[in-house]
Amino acid sequence: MNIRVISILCPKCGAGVQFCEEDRVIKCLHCGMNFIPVHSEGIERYYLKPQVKNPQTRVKNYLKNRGFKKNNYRIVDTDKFFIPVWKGTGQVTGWISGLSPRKTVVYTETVTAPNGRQITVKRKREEGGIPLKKLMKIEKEVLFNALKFPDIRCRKEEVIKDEYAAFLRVYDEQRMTRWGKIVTPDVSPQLEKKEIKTRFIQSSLSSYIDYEPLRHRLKVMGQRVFLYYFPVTLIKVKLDNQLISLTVNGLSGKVTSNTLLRKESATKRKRILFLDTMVIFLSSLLSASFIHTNSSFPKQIGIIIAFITLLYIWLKR
Amino acid sequence: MKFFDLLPLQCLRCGAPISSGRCDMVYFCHNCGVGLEFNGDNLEIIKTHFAQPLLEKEKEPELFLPFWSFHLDISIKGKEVYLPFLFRANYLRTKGSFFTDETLIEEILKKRKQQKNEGEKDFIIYVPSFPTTGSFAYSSNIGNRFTEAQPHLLFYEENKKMESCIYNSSDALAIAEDEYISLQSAVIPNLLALDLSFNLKGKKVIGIPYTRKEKGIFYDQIIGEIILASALKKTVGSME
Repeated sequence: MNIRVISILCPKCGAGVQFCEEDRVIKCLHCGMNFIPVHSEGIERYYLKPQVKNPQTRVKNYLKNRGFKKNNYRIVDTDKFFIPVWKGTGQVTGWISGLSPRKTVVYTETVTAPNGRQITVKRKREEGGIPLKKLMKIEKEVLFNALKFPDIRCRKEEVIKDEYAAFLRVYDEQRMTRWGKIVTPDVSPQLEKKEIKTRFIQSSLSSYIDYEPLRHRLKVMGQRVFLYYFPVTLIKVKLDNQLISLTVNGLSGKVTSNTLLRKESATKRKRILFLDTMVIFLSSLLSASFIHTNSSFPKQIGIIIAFITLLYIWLKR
Repeated sequence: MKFFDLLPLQCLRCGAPISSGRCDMVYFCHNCGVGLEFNGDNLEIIKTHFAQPLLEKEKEPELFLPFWSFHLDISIKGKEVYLPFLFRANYLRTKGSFFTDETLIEEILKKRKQQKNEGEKDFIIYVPSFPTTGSFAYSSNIGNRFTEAQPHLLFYEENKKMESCIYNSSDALAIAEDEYISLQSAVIPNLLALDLSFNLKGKKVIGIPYTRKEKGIFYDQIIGEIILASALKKTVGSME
């Protein structure tokens, strides 16, 4: 991963200062002053500056490429959001101890019988119970969505993409709200900070979960918690009496739909409708002609065909 | 609400601007020698001392590498027992056996009663905090040597130039706990079974004097542990 550089203004001389995300100290090359970045609640908040100017045009092109004509759909709603994503980093360190899980292993062995013949016998062996004592040091990183928003299709990995490094900015509520709404994370930052710590420790212990008795004294060192806000536009489209949500990535302009939309879907749908009508018409005709015969056996067949037709219609519905 | 601010890095004692490395966690004033640590909201002063050489006293140190020094009161929660004595005297030679928690505590209390007269002495854990290449285990071993040695240090009165310090006190304290358990585990096999509590009685940063042994090798002038110049990261100044 490349180093992502962020630009700010020096509070002392007003010159432009650049610093990397991982820097603990920022130096102004103009006045030579050093600064410590202070993040509220210890959460490092950044946002990615939106680049897409006309998200609606992107959606229209997206639908056009999938074979939908302008009169097939109607854009009913457009909303711009900054979607939050958590990132936690740190190093889990400490001692763990325990005994490896005990199990009985069955194995075969070839032995020589008193009569000189070679025979195979099954034997049992106890395995495990090996004492473990180790000093653990593991680097951890976790990335997860800060809220559940099923309509929006946005991949959390986008926030750490190197190609978007040029658009990374320090969180600025005023500037951000000028573009769109800032969505608040589901869980409070303080709770999430603790949760990330617990996640790191639990994942470090996951390989030793069967050890008995498992003792540990693990801590998270150098923990850093980031909250990235990613710009997206949510566009709701009414398509063939169906409401579809389309997400436009605020940086790449890529459109993602919450339902499967395919280029051939309009024509395919027409063809399926025609085939269904034909099947129902023919089966109805067949069952009617069977039912109106005098003998009982074809009548029964006719009733069965009628039932199957009804079942087919119900399933298709 | 403002979520981001820039705190000027200025000495709290003399007001001089402090220059520091990008990844430093303790900032040393080159004017008055004081150490500063950022506690999440503000800067706070950390006691800083520069140790005088015990070995080859006449040889002037070439650099001072920072070590956190913690004065800890280590005990078993809820029990009147002071644990560092176990480490010093190596009382419990129980290698290889796994006690139950209760028998282990009883054993420790019994041994402690026998040593009533010993009293509680200062127990210092040293944590090296300078940047090294590779894993920090390398520098952690040096910390173990210093903790085992418990050297009686004398300090310079004037200030010296300290090299980069990459751990803040809370991270260094976490390493100190690991270090204590590493040293004690040779004595008590299942120390993790105990509900240990580490109460911090005092903390400071000590600049340990280093000098050159030969090309590419430095050694400290306190206990004589060597360190390769190549193991010290580039952020450390005056390296070859």
